[in-house]
Parts: sequence; C-alpha cells; structure tokens
Amino acid sequence: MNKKLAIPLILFSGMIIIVANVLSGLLTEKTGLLAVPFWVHLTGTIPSLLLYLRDRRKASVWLHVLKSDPTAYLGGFFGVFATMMLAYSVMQIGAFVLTMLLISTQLILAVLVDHFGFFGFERSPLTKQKVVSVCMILGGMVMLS
Amino acid sequence: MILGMSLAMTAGVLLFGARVVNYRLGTHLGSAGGSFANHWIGAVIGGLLLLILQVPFLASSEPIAWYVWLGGPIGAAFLIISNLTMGSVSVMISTTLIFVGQVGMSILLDYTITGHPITSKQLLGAALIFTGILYNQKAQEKKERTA
Repeated sequence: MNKKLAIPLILFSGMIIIVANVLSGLLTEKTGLLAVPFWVHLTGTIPSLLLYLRDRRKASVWLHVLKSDPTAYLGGFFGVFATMMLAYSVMQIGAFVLTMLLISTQLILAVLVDHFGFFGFERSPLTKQKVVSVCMILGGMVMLS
Repeated sequence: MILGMSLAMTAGVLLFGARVVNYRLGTHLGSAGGSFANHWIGAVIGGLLLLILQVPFLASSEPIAWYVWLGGPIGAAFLIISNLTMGSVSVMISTTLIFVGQVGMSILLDYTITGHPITSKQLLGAALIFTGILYNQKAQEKKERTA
C-alpha cells in the first residue's frame, strides 16, 4: 500500500481499537469476563465475512496454509486471551494507562523484532539510541503505576 | 492495579504476536480473509472455552445497549487495516502511529466513559514514553539518510 495512504489509516486504526477495548470492557458487565472473547469474535466475524466474500479464496488455499504454515492460524487463539485481559484491564486501570502499557510492550517487542529480523522482517540492528529509547519507555512504564 | 497492569502488558505481547501471525495469514488469504479466519477461530475457541468451563454465554438478562456490541466489528476493521498497511511502513513507524491515535482516544474515553482521571505522574510517564519513541524515530531517520 502507498505510504501516504497507509499513515492516516494506521493512525485511524489506533484510534478505533481503543474504542473497541472500552466497548469490550462495557460488554463484560453484561456477559461476564469469560464470555467476552466469544461475543467479540462472533460479532467481528460478520463484517469480516462480508468483506471476505468479495475477495474469497479457494478451500485449497486454506488447506495449503494449514499444511505449510499452521501457526499462521494462531491469531484467533491469541486474540481470545488478549480480549479477556483487555476487557478486564480497561475497567481496572483506565484506557490511558492500558494504552501506554500496550504500546510500550509492543514497541519494545518491535525493537527486538527489528534487531533479530524475526518473522521475516528486515533486520535493523540495535543501536545505542535504540537502547536509550527503550530505557526511556521502561522508565515511563514505571511512572504509570 | 498491579494485576490490571500485568494483564495489560501480557495482552500487549499477545496482540503483537497476533498482528504478526495475522499478517502472515493475510499474505495467503488476503486481508479480509486473515481477519475472517482470526475471528471465526476466536469465536470457536471462545465458545468451546465456555462449554468446557460450563459458563453461561450471558451473565445478565438485562438489555444490552446496541453500541456495546460494536467492539468486535471495530476490532475486525482494525485487523483489516493492520493487514492492508503492514509492510507499507516500518514496524516502528506503524507502532508509533497507532500510539498517537490510541493516546488521543484513550484520554477522551477516560474522561467520558471509564472514569479514570489521569494523574500528573502518569502524564509524565506518557511524556517519557513518547520522548523515547521520538528519539528512536530521529535515530532511525538519521540512519536512513546516511545509508
């Protein structure tokens, strides 16, 4: 995708995902914590299916992925537990602290992924500046508590 | 507070893993296919979990406001955008952009919905995190210019 289009889209996605987290937190009060991942994923299936039907792939492609790269299907598994944790945390610590912790954790992971070139991403070795920035982020995380 | 924070960080790790894995799936099935697979697999696992633990699907019989159900569809939109845009910019830039969007929205939602006022210490912490990100960005840009 074009970089100029990608940047505002990513920014927008950041804005809407925190709305989703807060709504999941509100849903917890009605469904119970353990049931939230089921409802969140079920209601998310409907729009994804509608979009998928416009760009559907053959069953053989799904089977090929299952055989060649089965871990690619783990997103839904991770999502179930992440949804439960997010729904609980957002009402306990608020959206702001939750956001900071989520982003900080993911940013530190991103630095590690860049450094080691995990998951096929281009390698970008750790520099002194990156170490300093990670230390700042960790310091900021401590101050959030 | 500590439990909430620990779970938030663990969720961060899981979400990072889910993003990367879903990107891989998206390269085979398309961005909508990746999101569709992620959601129906999550719904099946979530449903099985409830059946195994013998937990009701709804804990309350009270009516639920329509907008509360939008968390799932919004999450689907997020996944589709993530898949469409991943690889267009570096992991670091995309993470930073998501940061900016989330921070603005979370401040708004804390004032309007969750009722968690932000303290000055937390704002300082956020400023330190943001400085760390910007510092990293500057270093990255400098490196790209010299390359």
